[in-house]
Amino acid sequence: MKPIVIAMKGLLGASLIWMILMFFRMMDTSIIELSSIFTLLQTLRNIILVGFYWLVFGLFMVFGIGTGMIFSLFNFIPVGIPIYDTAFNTSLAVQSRDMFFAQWFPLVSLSQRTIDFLETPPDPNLMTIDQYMGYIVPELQALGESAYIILFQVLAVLMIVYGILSVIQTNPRHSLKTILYLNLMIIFPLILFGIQNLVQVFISDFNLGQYIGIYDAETGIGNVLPYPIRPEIVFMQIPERFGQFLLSSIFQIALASFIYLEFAFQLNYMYQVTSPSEQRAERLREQIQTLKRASREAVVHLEKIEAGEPTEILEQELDEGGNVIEKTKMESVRKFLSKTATGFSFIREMIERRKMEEKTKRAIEALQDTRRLSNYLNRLFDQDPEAEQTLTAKSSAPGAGRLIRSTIIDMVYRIAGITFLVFVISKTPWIITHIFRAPESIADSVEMFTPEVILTLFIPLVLLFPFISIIIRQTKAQQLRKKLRVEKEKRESLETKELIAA
Amino acid sequence: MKLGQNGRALLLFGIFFIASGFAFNSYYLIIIGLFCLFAIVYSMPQFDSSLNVDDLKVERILESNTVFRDSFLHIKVRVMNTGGSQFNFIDIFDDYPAEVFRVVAGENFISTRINPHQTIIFSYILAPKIRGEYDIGPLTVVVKDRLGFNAEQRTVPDSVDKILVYPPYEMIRKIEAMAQQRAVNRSFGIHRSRMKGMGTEFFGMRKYVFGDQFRAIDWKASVRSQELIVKEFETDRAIDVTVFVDSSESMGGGARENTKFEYSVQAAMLLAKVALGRKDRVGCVTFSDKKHFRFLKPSGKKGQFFLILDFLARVMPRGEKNVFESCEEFVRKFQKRGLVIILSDMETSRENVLMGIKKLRTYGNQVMVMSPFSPWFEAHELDLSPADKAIAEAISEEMMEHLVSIRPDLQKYQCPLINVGPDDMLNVVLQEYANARKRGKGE
Repeated sequence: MKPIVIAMKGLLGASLIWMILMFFRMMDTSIIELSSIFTLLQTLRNIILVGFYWLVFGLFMVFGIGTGMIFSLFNFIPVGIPIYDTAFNTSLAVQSRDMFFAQWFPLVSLSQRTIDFLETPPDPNLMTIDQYMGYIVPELQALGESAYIILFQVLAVLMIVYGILSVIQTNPRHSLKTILYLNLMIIFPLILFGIQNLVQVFISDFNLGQYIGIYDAETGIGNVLPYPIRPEIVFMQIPERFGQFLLSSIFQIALASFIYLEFAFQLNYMYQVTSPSEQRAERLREQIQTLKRASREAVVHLEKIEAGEPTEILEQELDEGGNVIEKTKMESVRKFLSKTATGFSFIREMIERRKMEEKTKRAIEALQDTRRLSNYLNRLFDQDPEAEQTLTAKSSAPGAGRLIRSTIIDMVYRIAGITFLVFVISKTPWIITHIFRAPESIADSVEMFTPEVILTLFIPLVLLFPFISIIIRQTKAQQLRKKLRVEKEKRESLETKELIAA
Repeated sequence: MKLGQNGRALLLFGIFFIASGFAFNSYYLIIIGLFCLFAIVYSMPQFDSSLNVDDLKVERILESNTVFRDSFLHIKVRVMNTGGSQFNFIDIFDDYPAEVFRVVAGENFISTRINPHQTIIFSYILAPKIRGEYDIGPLTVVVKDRLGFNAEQRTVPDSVDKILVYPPYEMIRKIEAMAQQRAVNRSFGIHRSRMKGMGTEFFGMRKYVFGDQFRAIDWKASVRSQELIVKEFETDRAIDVTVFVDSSESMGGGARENTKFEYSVQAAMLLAKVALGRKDRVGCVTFSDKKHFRFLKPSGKKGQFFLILDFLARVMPRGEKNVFESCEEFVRKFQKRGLVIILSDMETSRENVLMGIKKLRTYGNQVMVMSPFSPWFEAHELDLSPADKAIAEAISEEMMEHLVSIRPDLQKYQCPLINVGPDDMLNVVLQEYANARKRGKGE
């Protein structure tokens, strides 16, 4: 059965690669910079330094203002001679900042991303913190952008890692995570741009109505943050014809994801159905071998124990537990009890004796158990030739041919059916207009041009399946009840006949 | 029917993607959300139409309904698909009390696929850890669709079997061996009944009184003494021995495998074996409160030991101790006098104990109390902190004082109270029984 699972793993791997390649068709890879991590670190360092600089300077300012206020009291002395001048104080603060505190901090350089942002970059790039303050806004922008691109890259790495794990470990959870991370790479930028659009609505115009339209996300793209996903694919409209729909990028990416998931679940199914019997057989074989070995050793040890000879097992017990350690422990117990208890030495002795006996007793019991189990298994295999097979559940392993056939049929049936259903749902406006012949007021309404219109068809269609399922279930239950009733009646009539005959 | 783990995850994904698609006006996200949601529901009708759980016959085949504690139990589970359609994915799980048994080989569950008219058998071996009566089962069948989106769980009706776990066979064998050895019997001393009759052991001589059998006259002695002298012999007389085993909750304290109750059961078995070997009639009572009172009538028949074994194997320590009510119930059910040996920790009120013993004595029974002293039985668990040890010691002291206070009152009823520990319990119980018989108690 292993070759089938390996072949399925190969197919799963292929579908993963296909899905990733399809996904990269949706991406604008030019804006992805692997060096963005350095931009992030550099801007982060600069901003932390600025923060620290202002913290120190702020503390000094508080101190300066405090002392200034105290010294200003001298102005109230009526001698006509100005003892204190606030201009001196201010000058002291400025000079201290520039000539003293600023010297504590190293010169900083702008990140390359900030330089790219600027129309007139500074020359030279190295500058003091005070000079750097003039570029703080583009630096913050570079920090946000690099963080955003790094997050995007992290999601890509996670997607690939879980994709590989899903192939190796046959766990559908990994596949689900792969799909999640892949789509988060699309959704995350969309969320940011959604927020940006929302903010723009409030800033640029108070007439909110015209900005709530569905195409605002597109207009917002590229203003502040780079957009790694191609908008022409993400916001692509559904093609009119089924053929075009099948060839469209959005369908192919979605289909690749779905097929990847389908393979992952089918592989998991195959693995769960076929592997237990193989693993059981393997485990039992190892178990029996270990048991035989342990049993032989146990017999030797038990014979020695019965003959009163020292055995390794008991010696080991003493060595591991430490004869001396055990004695010390008992000594302390005895000391403690002698202090606290009076007149119950027999209880104390009993406790101590039991403690000492426990280890030896347990070791002997373990040896006896091993011997007994080994004997029992030997006897069982002699008496019941099927026992070994049933313990390994060999008969439960399904035939390879049937399994492959049913898997292929099931996959084709599901993929074809679901694809068709998805197409039908995506054509909801057409179906409403042409099949249900909706009145003009509905057919031309704004709602018909929103994506939410699919709900009118999607909800009834998606609920149709559980509904059919419930009907089938109820019918079956009814048939079963009927069958049981008929059987009961038959049985009763038979009993009556027997009674009459008797 | 309920959604499986994969189904639930896909449902969440589907809703999340569709909602995102609506929010960001992305048909790509909507399509992938639709794929996820349809993937769950698409197979539902197919799953239900092929789901004929009633076609699946699942049964458990037990090697035996009884097992010794130191033995093993091989359990087979047979699954038959009697219908015409296959089950793509079934999980079968056979439940067992994990605190009582451990699986030593095989597994008690299986995940597989079953074709029409196919039979699958899997098995596992259980090792019991504790004596008693336990349930194995029920069998649970979970039928899933291939991808684990939909699942249907059923519990197989009437799939619970009772398993009776006897005390370790090795111990029973030892007891049997002990009882068979004459040396053992000798060690207890030969019982001499005070009843005179047709035995072989000489008892004494006395003057003839009217009504004595002529064949009992010792003519030689009569000639010597010039009076009619009758020679008397002892007769072996079987008595009724009833072993009272306290099955109240207090007897079940400590490690489950080494409780006072477990030791008492072993002691009762040993007593029964020895007493039956000596032709006494042995019965058994397990008592706590009125509800849990169980009585096995004394008998000396051949299978009595196994009846006692079975009787004791089914009892678990439950309920509050009520010695008086239990003794009252006993004398109501069995009025013959005999020897009553009570195995109880006596952790109840003094009055209750005394009233119970008085009741037994009123009906002419001779009573002995063997009291397993709790701290000695729970001593192996006393790996405690100094403070806890001090508390344990105080409790021990209190318990001992309680027993010491009961003892003189019991002696008024000629009822000895003997404290026993785990190491000497079996020996002391046998010794006391032998002494009692020597003294002719219970006749």
